[in-house]
Amino acid sequence: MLRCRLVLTAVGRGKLGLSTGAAPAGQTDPDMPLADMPDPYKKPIKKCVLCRQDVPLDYKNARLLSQFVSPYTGRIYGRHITGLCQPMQERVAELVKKSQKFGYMSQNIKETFFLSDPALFRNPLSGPSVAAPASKSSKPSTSSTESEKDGN
Amino acid sequence: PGFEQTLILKCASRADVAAGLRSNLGHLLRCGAVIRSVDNLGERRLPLNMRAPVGDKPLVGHYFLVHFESPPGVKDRLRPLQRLDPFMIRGHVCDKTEADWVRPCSTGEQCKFGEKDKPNFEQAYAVKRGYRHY
Repeated sequence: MLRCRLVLTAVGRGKLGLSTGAAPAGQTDPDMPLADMPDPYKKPIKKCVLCRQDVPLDYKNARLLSQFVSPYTGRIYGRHITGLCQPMQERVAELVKKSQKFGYMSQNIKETFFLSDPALFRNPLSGPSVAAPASKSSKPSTSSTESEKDGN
Repeated sequence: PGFEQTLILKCASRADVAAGLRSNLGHLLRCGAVIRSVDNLGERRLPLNMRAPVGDKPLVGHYFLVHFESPPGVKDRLRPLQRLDPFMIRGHVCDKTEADWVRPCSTGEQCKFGEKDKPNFEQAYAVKRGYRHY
């Protein structure tokens, strides 16, 4: 008596309505995890204040650039104080120098009417950190017809 | 290519400011510039001690922003004309390619913010302390 085992091919199984063992649409192997699934362990990308808010920097915007400058000496704060990423720190420094050369900012002091601006970081010369509303501080003052007379 | 000039003029009277602006724009035209627009940024207290090329040290200046187009090398042609200008305090020219600067993180480059550049800094740059045996 012969015993024969019926072996169904994938085509045969498909005709009978059985699972063909083929991968679902868009996948090569059904046993492997989904290829288009996002990595659940991926860390979120951290960005500095200027990159996160996509703040446009301009050498004419002395108010925005003065936020990264010391009010006492007029010197640019380092990256460990401002908390910016390296390309943005270099860009801010470049624009501050340009602004000073063109006559929008001072080299030795920070303007008194900029002192009440919200702090983007903890000033080393002041007390505890000041929680800054990012939307307010990232609003650049455009080159308008405002006359900046003596702020005192 | 496009340029922009931050013109700072002395404020004596409205007529003087107008005359200063006319003469400085004339310098630009003589250098072969095509002036697109002139923005009046108003009268401001000067943020630093500026010495005018001709005359005393003013405390207040009238700021103008001039957008123009000219062949490259306009700064060298403009310098001798500005040197003896009696109305001007400063008139630096900047080209508009600065506006093309793009954040590295926006082009898809991985931002290294928050990551240590040198993770093994302490191990690599440790200083041996103690007595040397020699």
